[in-house]
Amino acid sequence: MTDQELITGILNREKPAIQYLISTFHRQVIKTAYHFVQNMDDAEDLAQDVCIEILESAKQFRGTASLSTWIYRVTVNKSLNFIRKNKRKQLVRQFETFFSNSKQPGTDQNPEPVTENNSLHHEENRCILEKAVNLLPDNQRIAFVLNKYDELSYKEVADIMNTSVASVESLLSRAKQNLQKKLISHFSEYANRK
Amino acid sequence: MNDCKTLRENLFAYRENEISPSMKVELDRHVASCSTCASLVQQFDNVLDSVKAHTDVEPRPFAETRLLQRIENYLENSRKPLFGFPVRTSVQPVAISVVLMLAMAIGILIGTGKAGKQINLTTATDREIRRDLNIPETTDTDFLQFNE
Repeated sequence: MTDQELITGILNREKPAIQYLISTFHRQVIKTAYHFVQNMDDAEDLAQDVCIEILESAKQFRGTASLSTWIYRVTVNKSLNFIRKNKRKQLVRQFETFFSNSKQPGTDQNPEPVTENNSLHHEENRCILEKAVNLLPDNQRIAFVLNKYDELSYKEVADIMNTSVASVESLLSRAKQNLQKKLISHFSEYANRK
Repeated sequence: MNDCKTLRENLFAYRENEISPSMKVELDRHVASCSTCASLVQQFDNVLDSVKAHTDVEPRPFAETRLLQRIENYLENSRKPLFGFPVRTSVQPVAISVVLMLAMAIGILIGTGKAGKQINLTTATDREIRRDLNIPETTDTDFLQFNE
C-alpha cells in the first residue's frame, strides 16, 4: 500500500487502512515515544494520541515527505508536549532517580564490581544517561534520540526535523559535547564521594 | 596532564572513533598509562552501553491490539449520534450549549408568565395574598391545631 493510498483509506475511515497504519507504524511510534518519555505506559498513551492526530490531520498530509517521516514528526511533537505538560511528574521521577543514585554509591560499604552482567549498575548507567539527555536543549535532544536510540541516519533525522544534514551534524556534535561534560562532571562527583 | 585534558575534551569522539587515527593512537597510549583516564573511559563506556538497552526496547505484548482497540473506540465515539442526529465531536459542546440555553430561555418564559401576577407584599392584605396564591383561608382552629 503506497502512502497516498493509505492516506485516502484513512480519510475514508476504512478499517483495513487503519489496521494497516497501526500494524506498520505502532512499533516505530511506541519506541520513539518511549525514548523521549522513558515510560512504556506513557509511550502507549502517546501512540494513541499520535494515531488520532494522524486520523484527524490526514487531509493535511501533502506528500512532500514520506508518511513515516510525518509520523515521526507527530510523535516527536506529541512527546515533547507531553514532557512539558508533565514536568511535575518528571520532577518526581528525577527526585526518585537522584535518591536511588546517591544512595547506592554513598551507603554501600562494599560496592559491587562494575561488570556487564551487573543489572544494578546497568540500570544506574541508564539513569545517568537519561538524566543527562533530559537536560539537553530540545533540538539537540531530538537529534540525539533519533540518531542514537532510533538509529536513524543524519538524512532521516534532518527530514524529520525539517532541517539540513549539516545542521543535524552540528546539533549532534553539540549534544555530544554537552553530554560529555555532564557525564564527566557526574563521574568526578562520584569519585569525590567515594 | 595535557593528554588528560585532550581525552576529556574528545571523550565521546574518541569512544565513537570519530577522531583522526593519529590522535586515537596517542589517546590509546595515554589511557594505557593513566589509571584516572582509564577509569573514566571505563565508566563512559558503561554509560554508552546503556544506549544499546534503549535501542533494544520493544513494545509490550499485544500493544498493537490494545492500540487498535483504543482507536476503534475513539472512532466509534466520534461517530455516536447526539439526540438521534449525527453530530461531529467538535460541534458537540456547541450543540449541548445551545440546547441548554434554549431550555433556560423556555424556563424563564414559563416562569415570568406564571409570576405575571405581581403581589405587592407591603400594601396587600393577608386576604388578598391568599386569594392571589390560591391559599385557602385559615381559621383560628387550624392555627391552634398547628400549634398543638
